[in-house]
Amino acid sequence: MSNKKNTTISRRSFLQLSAMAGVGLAAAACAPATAPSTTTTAGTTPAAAGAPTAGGILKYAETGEFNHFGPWQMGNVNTAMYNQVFGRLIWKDGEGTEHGDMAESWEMAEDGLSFTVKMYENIQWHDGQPCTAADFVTMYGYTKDEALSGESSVQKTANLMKPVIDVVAVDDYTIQFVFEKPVPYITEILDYFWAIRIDDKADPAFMTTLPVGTGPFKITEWVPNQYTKYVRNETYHHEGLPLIDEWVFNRLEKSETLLPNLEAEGVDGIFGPPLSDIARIQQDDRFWLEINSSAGSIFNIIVNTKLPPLDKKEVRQALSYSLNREAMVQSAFFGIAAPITTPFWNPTSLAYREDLVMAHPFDLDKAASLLAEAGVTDLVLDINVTSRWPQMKLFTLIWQADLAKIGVTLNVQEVENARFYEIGGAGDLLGISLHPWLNGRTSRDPAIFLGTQTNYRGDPTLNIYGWENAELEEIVAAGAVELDLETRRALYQRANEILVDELPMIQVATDPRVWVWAKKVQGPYIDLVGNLTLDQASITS
Amino acid sequence: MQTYVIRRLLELIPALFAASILIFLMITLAPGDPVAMRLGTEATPAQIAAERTRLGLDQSLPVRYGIWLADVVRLDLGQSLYTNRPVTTLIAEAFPKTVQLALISLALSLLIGLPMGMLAALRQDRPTDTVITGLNALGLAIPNFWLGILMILFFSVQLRWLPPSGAGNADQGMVANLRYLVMPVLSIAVSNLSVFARFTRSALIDVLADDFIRTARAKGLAERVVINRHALKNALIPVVTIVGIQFGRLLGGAVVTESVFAFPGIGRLTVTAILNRDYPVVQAILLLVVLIFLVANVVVDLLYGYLDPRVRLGRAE
Repeated sequence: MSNKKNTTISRRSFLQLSAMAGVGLAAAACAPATAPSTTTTAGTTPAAAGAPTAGGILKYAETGEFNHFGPWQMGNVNTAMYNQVFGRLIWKDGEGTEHGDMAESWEMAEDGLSFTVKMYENIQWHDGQPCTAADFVTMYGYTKDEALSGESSVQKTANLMKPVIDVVAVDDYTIQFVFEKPVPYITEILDYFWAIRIDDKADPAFMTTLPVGTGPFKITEWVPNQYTKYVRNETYHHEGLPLIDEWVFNRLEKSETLLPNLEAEGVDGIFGPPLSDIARIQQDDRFWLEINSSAGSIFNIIVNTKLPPLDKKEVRQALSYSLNREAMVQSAFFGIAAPITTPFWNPTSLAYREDLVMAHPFDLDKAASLLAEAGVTDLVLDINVTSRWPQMKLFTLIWQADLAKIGVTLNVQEVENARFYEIGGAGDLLGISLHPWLNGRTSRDPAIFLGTQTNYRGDPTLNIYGWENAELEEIVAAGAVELDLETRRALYQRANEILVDELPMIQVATDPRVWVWAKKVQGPYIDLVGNLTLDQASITS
Repeated sequence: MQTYVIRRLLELIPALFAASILIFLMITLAPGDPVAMRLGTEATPAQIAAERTRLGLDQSLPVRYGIWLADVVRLDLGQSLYTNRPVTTLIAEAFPKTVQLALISLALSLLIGLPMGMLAALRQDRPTDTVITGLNALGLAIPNFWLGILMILFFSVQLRWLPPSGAGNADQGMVANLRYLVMPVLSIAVSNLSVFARFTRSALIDVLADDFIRTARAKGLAERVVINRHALKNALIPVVTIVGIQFGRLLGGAVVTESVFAFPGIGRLTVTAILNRDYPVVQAILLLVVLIFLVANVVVDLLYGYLDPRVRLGRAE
């Protein structure tokens, strides 16, 4: 079957069309209209206080500190700078629509065994060197380079790029990705394939020498534990962008200080305020709030299926029915998350099935009868939480109270973040029965999700927690190479059904990301990776 | 005196060695895996194992300790597991900021705390004493974290007088950058001046009841001379001790204050490093803190000799 893909409008075309529509300075005037609608806004939305204007400095704050400047690392504390400094051939917006960034056009071969991308010809790295197809061949080479094999960011990308067996520069601006078997989700892979240049293989994290990219901003300064500074890339290949002159990314230590910094006009935007501040922000007309689930991160619970009686499906189902997710979302998540029983909760996912989103509504009687059916009495379980995610403790306490009503004891203990990760990283959960966790990429193509989130796999050589399911593995293998969309959909919907029925992981709620912006800021948007993009951001006077 | 100083400094070596063992064991035996944290929830066991090997965390504790100690002796504190940057660079960036914060806040605390303590002692059990004692209690009771947030809300959000966080940058100039210090300094000074005032008050009250003060008064010395030349000098001995301890603590980083105000000093570096199980950074900072305390102790002991003629340290040899 032909799977040609050359119809999606690129960002450049968007801008050109907008310019032709006679809206003055094309990019500036059209920014809000062309910014892909990737987000869910809550509370007050950005006011049309004035037309977006070019120039100005946008000050932004998050907690944490940079530990890597390479986008392949995909680390939470670093992600906000990725789309500002680095470009991709193709990227996807929050609805999963493809857009060209460095790619002018792209096309899948009829046999599905190669994917050809035509680049724009005016792309430059921030140091003035031209960026060509050869650079993508070099980038692919990083994933095979022995000298970089110990670098976790390269390993992550190498894992994603596994289905690609070669990258060829057909000419200076044409790249061909070659596969052994069809890769119907190649654009999803390329969505993570930011263009990077590792000039010093001893410093693949760019912590010694700041990186060069092809994105709308150049990173010019890093003052550790304080801020990084980015200036407009004057040779950016999308004409008229970015709009602002400079972006300053401040680093704070305590999330409680984020909102006061915004209120004091120390910054114009923040990410990750305490959820308890959300209601206050929603009532404040100086700000607008963006609650975004594009990244597809979810809160779930790892079940130690090696530990009886959790090896019984009925017991795991009983636990799922005993979760009052609605109450948890209201209390622990301050109403901004969605209760879910499946990882494929997002309607954009191929595996989505509406009936599985809340397949296990809160029902203590049902939970009790499932436990009785499994012959389980006086069940005692333990779970550890971390203060890194306060909502975790809150929802486990609600769960503890509900489980007590059916004679199940849940011991909740708070541990430090490092200990929390240690438990979650151990295949036997260090003997603990349950462990709250987070998984990402649920909004991606299921091949990406199941390829990277191995705790959902039925192959015990991949799933460190040891859960086994042969049918799921067959689906994973078949779905990854199936070119027919509807056949893929059917396969992944069955995978969804298996995961909801078997519950190797118990889903609790979505994990939206929260940004707060001053009203004068317009145009920031979020992609399907869940990353901030500021090329069309502006500050109204 | 010179021999004494040299002897005291040489005594630091075994103390530092013992401290290095304790520090190493404390941080490496603490539960938590820095690699699992660094690589996140998608890391495979193979990736975690490879990273552990790369960082040398797969070796036995004695081997790791030996390597670390050998490096420390050569003044090589290693690299941060979290940022891959040299630990000496991280400390060199953060320490001057903490010293600046410590010195200014200590000076302010002494300037206000000592006179308050003296005034309270001299007006013992009178309304002035009650007010000062009450304020001291309040100053000690207010949590730094809460006070910091409150100051941000008041001075930054409401009045817009001061920047809410950070330490400024070179482009802004020295005066503008000093504004970033105001709230952190005040936050630290409030609790410190209360400590100094309380110690000064109680020490002065004790000294004022001593026989030599009665003798001085009987000799007909003016009250000002009695207080300034006899009572205060003796009362300052315990105060000097507490000043030394507080200064050492401050140089080790005002952990809470630096975190609240995102002030990039040693305290913030320490918190981040502990939470990330960044062993080389934590070990280096703790060793530095121990060294600071040991040196501060030597300095305080030397000051005793100056303040109390009965303490003749050098002559004891």
